[in-house]
Amino acid sequence: MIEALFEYTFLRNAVVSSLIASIVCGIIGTIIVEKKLVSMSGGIAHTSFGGIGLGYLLGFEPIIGGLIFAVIAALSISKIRRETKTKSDTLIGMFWAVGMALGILFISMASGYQPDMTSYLFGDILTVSTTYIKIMFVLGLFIVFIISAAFNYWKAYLFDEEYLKVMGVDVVKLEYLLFILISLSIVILIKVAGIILAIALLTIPPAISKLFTKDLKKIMVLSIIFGIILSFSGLYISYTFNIPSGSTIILVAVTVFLFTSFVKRKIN
Amino acid sequence: MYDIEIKNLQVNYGDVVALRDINLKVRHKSFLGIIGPNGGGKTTLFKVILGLIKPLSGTVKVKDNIKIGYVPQSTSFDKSFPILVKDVILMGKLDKTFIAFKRYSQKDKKEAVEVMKKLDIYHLKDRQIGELSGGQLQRVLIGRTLVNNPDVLLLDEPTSSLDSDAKREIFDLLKELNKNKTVLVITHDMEYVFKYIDSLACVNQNIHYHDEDKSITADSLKDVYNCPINLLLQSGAVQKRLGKEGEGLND
Repeated sequence: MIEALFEYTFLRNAVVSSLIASIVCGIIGTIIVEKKLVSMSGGIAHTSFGGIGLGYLLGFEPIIGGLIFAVIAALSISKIRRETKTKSDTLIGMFWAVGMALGILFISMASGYQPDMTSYLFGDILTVSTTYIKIMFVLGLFIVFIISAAFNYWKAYLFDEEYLKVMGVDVVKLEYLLFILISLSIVILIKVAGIILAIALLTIPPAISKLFTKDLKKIMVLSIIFGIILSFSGLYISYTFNIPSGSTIILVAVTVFLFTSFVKRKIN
Repeated sequence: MYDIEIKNLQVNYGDVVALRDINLKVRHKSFLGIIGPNGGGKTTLFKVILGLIKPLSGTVKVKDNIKIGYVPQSTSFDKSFPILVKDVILMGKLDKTFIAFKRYSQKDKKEAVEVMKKLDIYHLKDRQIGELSGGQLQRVLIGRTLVNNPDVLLLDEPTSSLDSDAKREIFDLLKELNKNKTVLVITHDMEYVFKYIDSLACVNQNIHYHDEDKSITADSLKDVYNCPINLLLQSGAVQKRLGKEGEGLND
């Protein structure tokens, strides 16, 4: 695979995109696990499918449509929950299904050639284009910058939002910003793992890291490292045996999680 | 001039009245105990004072240039959250106005160490908060607000689910802090509260307030349904505060 790496652009792109995805997953994944936003993130991911469908229908880059839908979903869920006191779980469920429904509807309305949607649903890391790498890089850089620039605020926000509010910090802005960052991360992950599998890539590395440390920053750093190891080995296995990359990465990750927690329990 | 002055306050959650006709004046350096049934609006009262909840009507006046410190219920956050004791303390030092890449200053860190030493939690500084005893966790939460050197402390059930030694330690600490701070404490621990406080408020939608100048009478407590009058009377410390009615009831 190493020789092939130098030979084929698509393999290089695959490696670079899984590197960026791992960094983003380590940071945002830790946040959504600790803030209990896993189902929220699942909802955002599935709503983005509506945007992808719209992109096909109107003939613009589907991933941009997905990005716009994801951001709108995130901000709407947050706003509606605040104003109507509807449980966010209920809202997430609605957005989740409506997004998928719109996606399928838009695609069926698109004239002529019906595109194959599996690469968006399950990811296809070997078809990541150089343009997509550029989008990933910019979004990833933005996420890393926003989180590290205000790390102490994020830590305080995740731990005890109300106290931060008492101290006079604008918590609502932080929440909106966080939801936008989650949307961006999901868009980054769509090509790597797909809408359906993205959530696993966000949650498994932090779950493994939490077995080793109880400090937020260390969990993030470890998650990034685990993410890189897991996605590279998944990529290698998928390339060698010619099996779907997204599923392989996730199955490898879950196996490592189960094995690690089993060993950890034995040791304790 | 009072530290906190509340006039004709009413707070609603939708159609439900949480607090009504609340009038309360908190003297400087007083030690006010707030009792009352669960769901009676005690925490809501704190949240109004803190500005977290907007009242339907009435006013809450906090004296100018006064800093309020808040110690929330320890059930209000996730104890398994990966944060260390020292980080919780330093959280109190965050600026209201956000500056990118600003880290805690040496001065902030030194003050955090001082507070931790004073509260006898310095040796726990690298522990995750879920690994603390209930009493230690309360000290950490008190420390988080003490780094700001507040003039008024609001504590929401700081002694619930603590054993009796830890309860006494927390109240001793509050009494110590009360030397130069006003302290408001929500509690269910009647047996302790009367040894320490100098005024008492019973909150159950409305408020019954007893300051030093007025003695607590069993009649006035009886008005407040659900207030554990019998428990109050059993406490020896409260006997001297109760008038004749109290003795009568005890018979």
